[in-house]
Amino acid sequence: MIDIRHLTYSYPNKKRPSLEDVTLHIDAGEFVLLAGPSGAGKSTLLRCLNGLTPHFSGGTIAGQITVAGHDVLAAGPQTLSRYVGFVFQDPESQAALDQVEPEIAFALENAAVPPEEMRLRVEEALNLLDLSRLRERPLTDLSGGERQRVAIAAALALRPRILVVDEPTSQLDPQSAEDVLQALVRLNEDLGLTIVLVEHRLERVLRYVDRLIYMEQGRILVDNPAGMALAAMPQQQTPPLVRLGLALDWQPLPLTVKEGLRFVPDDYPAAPKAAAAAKQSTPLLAARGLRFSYGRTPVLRDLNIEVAAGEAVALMGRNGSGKSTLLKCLVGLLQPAEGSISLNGQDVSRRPVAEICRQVAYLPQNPDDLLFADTVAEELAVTLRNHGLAPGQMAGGFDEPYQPQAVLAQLGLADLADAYPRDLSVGQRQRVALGAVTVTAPRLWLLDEPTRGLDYQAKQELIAIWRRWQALGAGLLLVTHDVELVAHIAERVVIISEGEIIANGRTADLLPTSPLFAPQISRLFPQSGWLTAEEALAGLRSQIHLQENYCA
Amino acid sequence: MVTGRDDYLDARAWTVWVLAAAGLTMAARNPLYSLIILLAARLVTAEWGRATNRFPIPFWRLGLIMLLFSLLFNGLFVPIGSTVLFRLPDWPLIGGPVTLEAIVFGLSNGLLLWTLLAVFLALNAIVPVYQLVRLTPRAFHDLGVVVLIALTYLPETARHLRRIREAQAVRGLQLRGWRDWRPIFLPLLIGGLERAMQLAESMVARGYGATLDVAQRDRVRLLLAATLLSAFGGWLAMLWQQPLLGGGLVGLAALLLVGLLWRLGRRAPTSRYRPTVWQRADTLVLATAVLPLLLVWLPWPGVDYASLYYSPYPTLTWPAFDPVLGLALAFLSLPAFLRRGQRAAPAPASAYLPDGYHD
Repeated sequence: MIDIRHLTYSYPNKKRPSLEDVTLHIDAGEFVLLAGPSGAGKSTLLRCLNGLTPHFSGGTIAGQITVAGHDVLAAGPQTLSRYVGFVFQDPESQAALDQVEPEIAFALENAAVPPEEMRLRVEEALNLLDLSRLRERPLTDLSGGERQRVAIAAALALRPRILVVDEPTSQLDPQSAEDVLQALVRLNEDLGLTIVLVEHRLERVLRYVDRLIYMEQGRILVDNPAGMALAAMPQQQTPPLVRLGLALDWQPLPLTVKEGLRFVPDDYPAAPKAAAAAKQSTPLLAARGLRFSYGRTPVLRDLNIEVAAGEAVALMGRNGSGKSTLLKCLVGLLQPAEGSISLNGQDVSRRPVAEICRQVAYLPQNPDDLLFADTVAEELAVTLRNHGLAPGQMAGGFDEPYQPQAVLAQLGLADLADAYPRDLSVGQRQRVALGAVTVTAPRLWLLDEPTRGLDYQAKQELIAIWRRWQALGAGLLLVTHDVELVAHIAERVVIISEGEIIANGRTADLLPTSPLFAPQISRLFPQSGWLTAEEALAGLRSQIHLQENYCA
Repeated sequence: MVTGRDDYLDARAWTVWVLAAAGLTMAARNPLYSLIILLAARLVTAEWGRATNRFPIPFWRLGLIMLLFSLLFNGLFVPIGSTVLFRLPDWPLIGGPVTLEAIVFGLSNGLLLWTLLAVFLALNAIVPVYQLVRLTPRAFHDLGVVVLIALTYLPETARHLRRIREAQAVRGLQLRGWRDWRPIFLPLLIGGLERAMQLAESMVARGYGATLDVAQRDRVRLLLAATLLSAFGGWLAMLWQQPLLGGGLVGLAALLLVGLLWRLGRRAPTSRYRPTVWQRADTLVLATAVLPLLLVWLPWPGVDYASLYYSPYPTLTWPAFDPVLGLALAFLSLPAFLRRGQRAAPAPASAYLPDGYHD
């Protein structure tokens, strides 16, 4: 179905090729997962499958691509649209029209498909993606997951034989992501559609895919059935369960919690009793009785939240539960109808945003909204100027003077100080944006979905940056859907639903018992209190060690 | 057979209905008649309007604003009429007597504007924009697509602008001079271009423009050249006092233009999703629009056409009313009583949180 030989491609004005000598064969009906760090060339490879690259992007290309019997380089994307359906990462910027049915019919109208057949095909696409209920709704009323399913339906309308999907779930909450992935699985199994998927969170899709291709720096390093491929991939790019299985040499390598359970010993150590609560001091952030509504729809109802110095709190809950609204209320972007907010014991309700943000770093969901300056260093300097601060002068609450250079070094951006921010990778842009909001050395960090679209390595870097600030006594309130990140970073978890806190407790107490939010390792060892592969490994090893001593 | 969806009527019928209602509103400058049209428009909107197309500002509030504004404006600026309510000091422009007649005239004008608004809000509520755009001839298909995409793209840009303003406010940005807009303008521009590129890619990946018939291009150019030449030649001939030759050439140019549009329409063959089929109900809607027009504009015997114009000056009188004209205007409300098929289920209220307020 897809046959690529010795494909090498470079974008215009780039010296290093984005794809180097890629040879790949995909059979009809295969479900192929394409993995690798950002900038590995995954998206570029996908775009080669229907000719968007190089017909749209220019650049130099060598090699041969044959898809469904067509020479892609000669035929171009418009001819290939009959054979390859393409779904992009961002559900919002790929819709041409703003209603569900016309959006799906768009491709068919332009292909001059007769009305009788068009009606049938739209109906099919609606049913396949379970969208018939939403057929008359404007797209702006739909959730991210629903919009992404509309995008898939629109791509399927021309009845392609291959569906190419570029990180379809990176903007979605776990439930919506699951719906989208389930839809893909159904299309693959029921219709025999060939699917090529790029996805960062491997744990979600491993069990469905026939093959895993791992890329790095434009080359295919691994191309095998999933189990074998995982063993050959760099370990830090694999999900926690796989990492644990590899370390303990579990054979065959478990891909799902269900497969992993048979390796779990009966006598793994139970969690020690929770330590006594930490001594009470003035919390860094204390918000009491917050109420907020949009029009007549209440979003926050009598909500209390506290963050202590040196503490990381994760705020979890479904989309629309009020998490982002809470963060915006805390920095003064939205005015709560009732309630008080205090920072370091000082009441800051109804203070201007700029004043609050000297003491609070708030990183919005999309870091690109922040970046506009010509260089990375300038990006940081602008924030200082906005606050009327000279470099080295302090505002946020830490006593030692802080230099932008030092911040850049901490973020691992020292070499990129003169780079144009928008040329950087997603992870680097995220860190520049983080630098732009933390250059005033604030003691409280509010991060909204900081790992959206980040690969494993970028997440590790983010965690390392936070650890250094935590050691200085900063506090963190983190909105995220990423349970593995929470397992690594947060001491406490707050779960909210419909604007109310429904659970609040230590991560190790709360997460393992939650069917929705439990990390993979907790599902494997529910009694242990372990959250990450590293903790489990340490725990299991010390137990083995003890047993050996006992026997001796 | 493919039918239009049975719960909607044809956009063409509604467009004629709205144009007729608007024309009648302008023709019948009498508050009693205005009131009839206003009620008809609201009845029809209530029956045929869609929840998703609702106007954001409540209708009665719009009306109140219009009435009040018109009343104040006319009452203060027009010192004509015999019933003086009170006198203002001799201020420039608005000084002098304030009369009951001027206030009543202002009110009746406000009512007229409100009625006109109700008529166009009816169109907005009943016909989705994409169906309106589809009324354009096929030769302008591409233009129609551009308009539709803009309608999707612009609200997205507004949301983007709000996000960027928030993001910059968090960095302590305060908007004092025009320079302060740079941090907002640049991400908006770059982000907007990125979105446009993404959309273009997505459209190409879905085969947009694949059916464009390149062979037709030369024929279209030839036709265009011929059209321009004969139009220009005809104009020259007219200048040189050759009316017969000139008229002939201009006529030829007109013919060529029709051919050109037809050619353009065939250049990129497209089809239409759910093409609407003219139904009996559409004819009825059309009739309810055309009948009152005929009654009002043709000189029927025994009808008091003077009642179409109401003036409270110089002394306030009750507006005249002709039952035949009143009945004719009431015809406009008949579509509200046409039987309609199954109504589309309204979206749940929770779906109406403004975008961007979701997490």
